Amino acid sequence: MSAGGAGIYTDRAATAPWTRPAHEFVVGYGLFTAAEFALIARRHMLTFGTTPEQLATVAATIRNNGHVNPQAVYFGRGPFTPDDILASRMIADPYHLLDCAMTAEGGCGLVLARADRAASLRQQPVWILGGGSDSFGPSYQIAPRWDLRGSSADGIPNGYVGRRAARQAFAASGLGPADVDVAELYDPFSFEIIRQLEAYGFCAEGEGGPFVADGHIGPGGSIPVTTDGGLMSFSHAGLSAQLLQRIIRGVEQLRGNCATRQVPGAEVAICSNGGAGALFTDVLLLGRERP
Amino acid sequence: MSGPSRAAVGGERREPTLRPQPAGIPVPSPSRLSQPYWDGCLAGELRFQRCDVCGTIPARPSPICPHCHGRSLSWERSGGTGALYSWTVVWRPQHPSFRIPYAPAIIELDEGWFLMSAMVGCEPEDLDAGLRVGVEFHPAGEAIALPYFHREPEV
Repeated sequence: MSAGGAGIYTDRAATAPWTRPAHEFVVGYGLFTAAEFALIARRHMLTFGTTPEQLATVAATIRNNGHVNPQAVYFGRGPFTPDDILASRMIADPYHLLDCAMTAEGGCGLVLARADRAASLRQQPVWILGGGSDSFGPSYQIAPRWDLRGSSADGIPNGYVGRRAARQAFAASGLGPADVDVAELYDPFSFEIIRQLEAYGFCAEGEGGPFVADGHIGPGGSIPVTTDGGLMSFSHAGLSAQLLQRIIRGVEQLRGNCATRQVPGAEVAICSNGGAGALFTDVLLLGRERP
Repeated sequence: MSGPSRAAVGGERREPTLRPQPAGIPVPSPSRLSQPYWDGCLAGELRFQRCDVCGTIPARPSPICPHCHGRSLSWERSGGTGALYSWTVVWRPQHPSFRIPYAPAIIELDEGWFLMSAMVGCEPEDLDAGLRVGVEFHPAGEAIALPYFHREPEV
């Protein structure tokens, strides 16, 4: 399977077309993805005291992964400190320019094979251990609330969208967050990393800010995150490529093929897309060993 | 900036930084389901739907209740007051027709439903969680008025 976005967008007077919802209940208020996702981040900052500096630590970490990656659009454009992120111009409070994903063009391809075919293929197979889809409604039509709850009885709010998918993936594989060696998390905006770390159980609710500030997500940390530079500095290849780009990097990590930021001996990777601003998240768990 | 402040000259009050958008912004296209909402806005009324059977307020206009699947829902008039649930201050306009800064905001209305709107009549630094707010309406184009929210005085 392959995916990519081949359009070139150069009219900078408006935000990129795919960031601008036109649904009747949001169109008159000038919403775009950065603003939709900012509304989510603000609630977490109000509830748990998460700080702009902690958000900036996420952005600097991921952008530095792109800075050292020759395949990244932003190769060589750093290095970045959290202060660099905070000094960049404000887009939609709390998101500064460098808290946000880029827009870019590109594509990616993934080959899936049956287990009995995989053994005879040239490349080392990487195994799907489990996964799931999670959604709280159609994207960009109603107010993107942290506390939006679906009709299920589990009480999980939209702020932790993806939790159900991660639990399903862990249950299918018999693994847990402590077994994951690398987290290829979708990074449309810096807070979304903090959000996912809490949603999937890598740290407690409300603790994501201090967790990233303590260096857990950088190279050599307990859970290196988005190691190629992600949407922020590697590439944003459009809607259909969201999860695929993370899966491809996860596969490269588990094959030991990464030219930069290789996590030594990585055996399990978690991959994701979407985000609470968009009311959906899909999660996939990959393994080096056949389950 | 040199010279007397605008506030000092003749006792004029400054225009607030956050203001309703002028005509020329992209405007909503009402649907058959949402037409009562937009008619209300033109009449200066904030309306919401409620299920006649179980009392659930759908997140958006719906022909059936999302909770009990009943097919009898009625439009009610909201008191137009509530609390500021979340907000952002935007400095990069989504489209050149939008004047910056503007403050998209999620409002929790007192009847227990939520609305995407924008804060006006104040400064960005005035925005805070739980601020008491009230609705006002402004024309956005031909036959469309948008609800905005201002700070309500503390009772």
